[in-house]
Amino acid sequence: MKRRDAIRAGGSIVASATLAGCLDTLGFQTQSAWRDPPLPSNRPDAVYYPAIVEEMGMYGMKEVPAEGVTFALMFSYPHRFWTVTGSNKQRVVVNSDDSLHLMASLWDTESQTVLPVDISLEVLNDGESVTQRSLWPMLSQTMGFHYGDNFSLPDEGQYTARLSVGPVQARRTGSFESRFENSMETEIDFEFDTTNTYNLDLRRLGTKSGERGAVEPTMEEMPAGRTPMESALPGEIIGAASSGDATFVISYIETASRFGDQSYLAVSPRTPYNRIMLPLMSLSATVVRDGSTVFDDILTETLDPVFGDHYGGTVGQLQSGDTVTVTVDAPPQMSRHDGYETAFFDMPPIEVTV
Amino acid sequence: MPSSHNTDPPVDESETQSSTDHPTTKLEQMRFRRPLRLGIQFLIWTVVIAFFVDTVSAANGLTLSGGSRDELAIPQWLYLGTGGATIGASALLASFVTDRLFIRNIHEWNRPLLPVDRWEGVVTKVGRAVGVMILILTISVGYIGPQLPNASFAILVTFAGGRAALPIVAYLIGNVWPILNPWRTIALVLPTGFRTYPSKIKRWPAVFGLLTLVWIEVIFPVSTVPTVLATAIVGYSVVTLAGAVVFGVDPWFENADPLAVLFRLYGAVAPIQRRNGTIQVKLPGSELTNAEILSDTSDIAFVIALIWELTFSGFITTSAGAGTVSTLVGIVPVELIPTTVQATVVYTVLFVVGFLVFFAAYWYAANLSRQWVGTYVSTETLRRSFAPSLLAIAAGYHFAHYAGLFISLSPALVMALQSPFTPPANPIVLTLPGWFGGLSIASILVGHLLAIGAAHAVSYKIFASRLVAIRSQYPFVLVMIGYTVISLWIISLPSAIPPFLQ
Repeated sequence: MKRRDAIRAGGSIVASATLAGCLDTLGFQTQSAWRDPPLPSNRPDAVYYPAIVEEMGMYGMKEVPAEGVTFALMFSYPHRFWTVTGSNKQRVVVNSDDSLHLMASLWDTESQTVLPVDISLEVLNDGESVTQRSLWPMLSQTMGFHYGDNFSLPDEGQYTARLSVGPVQARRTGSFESRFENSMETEIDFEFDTTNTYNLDLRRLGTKSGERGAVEPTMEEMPAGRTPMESALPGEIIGAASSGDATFVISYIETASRFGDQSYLAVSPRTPYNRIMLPLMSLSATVVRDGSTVFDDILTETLDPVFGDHYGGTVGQLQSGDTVTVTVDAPPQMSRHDGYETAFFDMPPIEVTV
Repeated sequence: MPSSHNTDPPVDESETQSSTDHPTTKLEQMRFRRPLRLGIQFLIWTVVIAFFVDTVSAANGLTLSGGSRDELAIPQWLYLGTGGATIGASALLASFVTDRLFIRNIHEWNRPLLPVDRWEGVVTKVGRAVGVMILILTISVGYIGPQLPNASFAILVTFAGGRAALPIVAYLIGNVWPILNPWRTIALVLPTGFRTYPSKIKRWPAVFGLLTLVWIEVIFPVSTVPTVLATAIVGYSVVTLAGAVVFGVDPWFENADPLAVLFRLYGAVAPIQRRNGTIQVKLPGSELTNAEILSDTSDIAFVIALIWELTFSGFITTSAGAGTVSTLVGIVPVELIPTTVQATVVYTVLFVVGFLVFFAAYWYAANLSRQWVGTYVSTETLRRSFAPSLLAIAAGYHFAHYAGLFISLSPALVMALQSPFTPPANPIVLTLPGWFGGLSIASILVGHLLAIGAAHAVSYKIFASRLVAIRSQYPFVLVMIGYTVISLWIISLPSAIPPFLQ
């Protein structure tokens, strides 16, 4: 901290502490101006255009060649978001000491498949830890699937972000089978400067806000966690249906070595409009043939080089006329930014007939 | 108004005289009851309309959840009725204060604070420098600074400062705008006075200017997008400086500039007044009996515009207002015109019609007043004499609508003033405690009480007869009750975002 800044900061801290003391007694309380930004008044229970969308800035990308994985660290204004536990959501407002919203993403460098992992971020200043936190898996319209949280930094200046991830918990298939098994760590240096934050673009969607729809993810140099187009999915598409505003594409693969040479049912849920992956769900499926249940089991979250993140199970040979029902046992346990917080909660079962 | 003191017709004087002796005669009772009955009817209708509009908007489902205003714990009809009745009752009570000398003493009480010349030079120089510096910073930061409203020096200074704090200073303490006014300072160094200001148009340009400024504030995102605000300020600067150069500094800022007229009029409510080179302390609102404050119909229009703009911008940010606008936009069966254009038309029509209704109510009150007392005093004189008392009402509304905004944004404003170009990572605002809503209601009522006090004193200045003086106030008191009830109703509503606007 420069001396002048220190004096200025010191002065304003003393002044605001005195003032804050008086105001506190009278019942006034300080809070962030961005604590709870406006929400459209007519939010549907579906994906909708938020009132405001903000751009993100890139602090840096780093490849870990040994693992074939690339990390990215991004920043934006401190954000309000909703965490999800089971079917309940909890609004997380911006605290008055939050300095910025830090976001991380990591993906398989070659296939650009975004990886669902447990990730924590430690911020260091001159080698000393400033703060450390597990990041929330998150869904936002401008970023797609990512990890993030609001962070409080003591001052502007140089910092290092240490990103640590555990192994991918989902089952892995194909060329991913023997990969992402190790914990890994990488460091990305960044300079926290509020001017950079304020240079980020901010767009008000005006009359569009509150309408069903979503803006396109804006990051160009990194994947947003999109699932493949329906036409690009392998196997026979036996149905695509919407539940809780998420699109479920159901594919049936008669035989494939990477799925153990057995008939495989793959369910690929994604957001409408942008096909963003929806990991961290609990799905199960039943197959009913001529009135009797021939399959009833949970579907396992699986990371596949072609399907990406999806849910699958070996179901045995399907026949024409079979009824496949996919039940959502738990909606995606991801935190949501504006525009996604009302969708993907009330998710009735999906029924398709082969 | 030198002739106004003894212009009551002899017939009226004698009739009043006799009824003073027999205050319970039938005729007099009738004369007292009529305005009372009208007042009660007005209250009932206002409450009925209030309920109606509220139901309409609720049916539209436009009420914003998480509105910042707390719902009132008492029923709305009781709250509005109490507010209106307070004003009415205070007018009746005031009418018992019939000691001329007492009334005059109250309104003419003053203490000289200090002569102006001793410090004027320094203060003026500093004030002018600060004003011009803030103007330059506001425009430049508006264009190149952060675009988030709560972190923008431009928006905080304009709205927390110019829109909220400066008028509060003007009516609670005294008018400092003539010193700060940056456009005046700049115009002073320019060659000016190429044309004579057409005296016929009086303050109408200022009335038009004020309505235009508020219209721009409603229609364009000047309070949320700093570049838009900066552009609006540049536009205002061009018009103002051009006007001052062509017509001369004093004629322009005394007649045509809406901000200068606004601050001058709000300043008339203040306890600190400048008179003959001396700074005086007076009782708040006592200056409003001074008939020189308003000298033309355009001045009255300006005062009504002050009340109306606060009512209007308050109304459209409530659920009922948002519902009304949505309903009106919905019933226009034109599919070809974009909704934003339709909404703009609806906002504009509401704004203009509402102003005309408010103006007409006051206009008609003067006619009524003259009819009831049957005086030779011209309606025009009555209108001008009672209008300054409305300034206290305007000040009360302004405080109710803007004091919270100012206090809430003050930490962010302080941060922005400390470093206009590098805003904090996360601007801080204050939340308002529950009792603050009570303060808003109190400020509206206090404004009205001052207004009624002033109107009472004015009537005693004009009319020689006490009862004539009291009776002459009734129509004005009714209009004031109307304004109060509407205003109290608005601040009792849950807030909402005005629909269709950016």
